[in-house]
Amino acid sequence: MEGIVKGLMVACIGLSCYSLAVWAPRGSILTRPASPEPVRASPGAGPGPHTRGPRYVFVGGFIGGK
Amino acid sequence: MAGKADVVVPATEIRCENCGAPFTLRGFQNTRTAACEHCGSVFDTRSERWELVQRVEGAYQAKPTWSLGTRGTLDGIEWEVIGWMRRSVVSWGTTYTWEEHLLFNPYHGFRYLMVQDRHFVVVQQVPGLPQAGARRATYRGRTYRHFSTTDQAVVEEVLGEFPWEVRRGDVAKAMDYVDPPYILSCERSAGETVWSEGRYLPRDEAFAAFGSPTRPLRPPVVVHPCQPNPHKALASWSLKAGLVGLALWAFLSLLYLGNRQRQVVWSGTVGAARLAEFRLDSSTSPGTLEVQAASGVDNSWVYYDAMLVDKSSEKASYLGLEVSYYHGYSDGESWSEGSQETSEVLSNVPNGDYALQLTRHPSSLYKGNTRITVLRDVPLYRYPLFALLLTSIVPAFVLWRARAFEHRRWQQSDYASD
Repeated sequence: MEGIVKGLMVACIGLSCYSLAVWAPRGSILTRPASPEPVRASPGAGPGPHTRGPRYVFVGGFIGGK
Repeated sequence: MAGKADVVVPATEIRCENCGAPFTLRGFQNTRTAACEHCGSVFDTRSERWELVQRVEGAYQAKPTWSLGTRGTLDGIEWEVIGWMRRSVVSWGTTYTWEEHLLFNPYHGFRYLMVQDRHFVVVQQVPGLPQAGARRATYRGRTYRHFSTTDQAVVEEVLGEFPWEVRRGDVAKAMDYVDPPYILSCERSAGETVWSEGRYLPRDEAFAAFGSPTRPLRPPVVVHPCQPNPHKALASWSLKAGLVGLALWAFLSLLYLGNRQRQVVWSGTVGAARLAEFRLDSSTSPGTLEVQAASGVDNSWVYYDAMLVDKSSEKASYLGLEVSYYHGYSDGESWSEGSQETSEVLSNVPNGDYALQLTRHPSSLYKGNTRITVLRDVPLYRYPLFALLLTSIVPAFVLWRARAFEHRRWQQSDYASD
């Protein structure tokens, strides 16, 4: 039992260090990951009436939002 | 000719004056009081013809955990149970009882094997006088904490031989001081003060020494005043490991927070819609990207659909940005909810050329401009907090368990908390 607790403690401290050194700078695990979906660009259409550039829409249809 | 090992000292047999049962004297000339094993009548054995000092009628209520005559070896010395008594105290309306087995060895004198709440303690009378105060007692360099004091430790039953005068109903004032696994006890009665020191005897060792008890003894439930804390060693280790972990946590947290660039890659105002284009080339890649929105909403809300488009792959991640702020005054109190600012963070965003397409939802109440700021490599306090939780959860649990054990111990003392 004592060995298990000690092992668990060491593992937790190790994981804590790893989370700060590796996960935190990338924002892994605890932050919503960027989950790119394919988009289609309509050149020159712009997202709004007074904007330039392409207008992007998700190929699979609209996701998220209100 | 018989060798030394063959010499047998015959035990003296006497009959009880009260019930006529045979009496076996085991303590020889050390015995001052003897109580009949059958009827419990007490005799003064100092004279050749024993004097009956207390006649007892009726059966015993309790039975010794180990019978008189049982032999056992403790610390390499063989002891024989020659006397037994059951004592009690009443505290806050509850009666607590314990047994004391008097152990004898002709070369090493007497010891007492106490059985209390199915715990075992080996006790020895100490020479000298411990320095005792109200809260502390010191003896031979060891400091004991006061545990309890009772004015009414009563002898309920007595069997066998004792080197002092004892009979049913004897009352003593008893004080206990503890430094687990040791206990220092003081008993005062009729102008006599006796100090003794006890050592907690683990259950297995007690059974190994004296064999199976006369009745089944289940494992103890309550904590004995001098029972060693089984979690103490692990708690001590955990404390050290926890401190090392906290030092590592502090160092890595400062390193993490200090190294974040928090670089503004785009900032501007957005009305109905806008396409923001920027390049990410931070030293940490993939990394975090935060989109902040601040608007002048007042009892209103605005919602932006945001698409972060990776231009090279033509893939986009969706973000929803809602800014909502309401406030008012009702039932005599001011209230507010929401905020004029919000933010969303995406993780694992690689370097590259991006476009952020922002489109205000048509049903938004607020139609003014919103300031959008895009930041790269932002510090997120959730990581140090998460790491702190990971570092401290096991040590905290172990320390809590050790503390809970001590709490249970001291709940039986004069210092119990409500």
